[in-house]
Amino acid sequence: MPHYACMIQEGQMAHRKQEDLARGLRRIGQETFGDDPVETEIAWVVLKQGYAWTAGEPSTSSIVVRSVPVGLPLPEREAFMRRVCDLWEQETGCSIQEIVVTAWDGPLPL
Amino acid sequence: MPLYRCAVAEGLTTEAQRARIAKEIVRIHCGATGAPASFVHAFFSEIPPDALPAGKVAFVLGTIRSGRSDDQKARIVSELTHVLAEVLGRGPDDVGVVTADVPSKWNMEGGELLPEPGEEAEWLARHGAPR
Repeated sequence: MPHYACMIQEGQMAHRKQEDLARGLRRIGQETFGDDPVETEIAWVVLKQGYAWTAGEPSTSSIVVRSVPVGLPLPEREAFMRRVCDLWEQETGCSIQEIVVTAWDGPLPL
Repeated sequence: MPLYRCAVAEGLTTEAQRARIAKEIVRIHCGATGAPASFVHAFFSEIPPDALPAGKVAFVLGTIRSGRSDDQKARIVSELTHVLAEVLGRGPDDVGVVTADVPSKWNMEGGELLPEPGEEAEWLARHGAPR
């Protein structure tokens, strides 16, 4: 089953745009990997203020981790991650510095 | 990346303690690896004590870029274990720290694939330092 884990900050734009982001992630998964959008699992971890830091300062970052086929070639891996970055920038207005994407071979360890 | 996910027992920590741990994670990780601080994320979650490994009140999983030496990883685990114990007022056996290697090219940050360890300066010069 396709699986995303998305860590976002409470009250920030990604939190308010969760439904749009979920739609976008399902669309990207369908177009990139042939996912069935209905069977795509998206787990949201919403971090309260005071629970997330980047470089030792309060974080404004979102981190998206997705299971991908083991050994996915780098060009496809990179293209997928770039699409997720683009989605985040478009939907939330975040800067490119505020979205981190991991394309993880096989089941997620989280 | 790295991402340090810190699971702590419900009600155990204050925001000040979490902030201090986050800063110590940056210090320890960057001291051991030379990585830029801007790459270091520390995210906390509070979970029921019985969901933690037996006997632990805090458990940290650090997913770090592949290519670090065993000595570097051991230093991170040792130093972070002691800092966690000190900040939480517990013994070292009450906390747990592990790291897991993740290939750099599995990750995109700042809109670019992450550099291999040791190639950060060139990467940062090309793309600017993420905050």
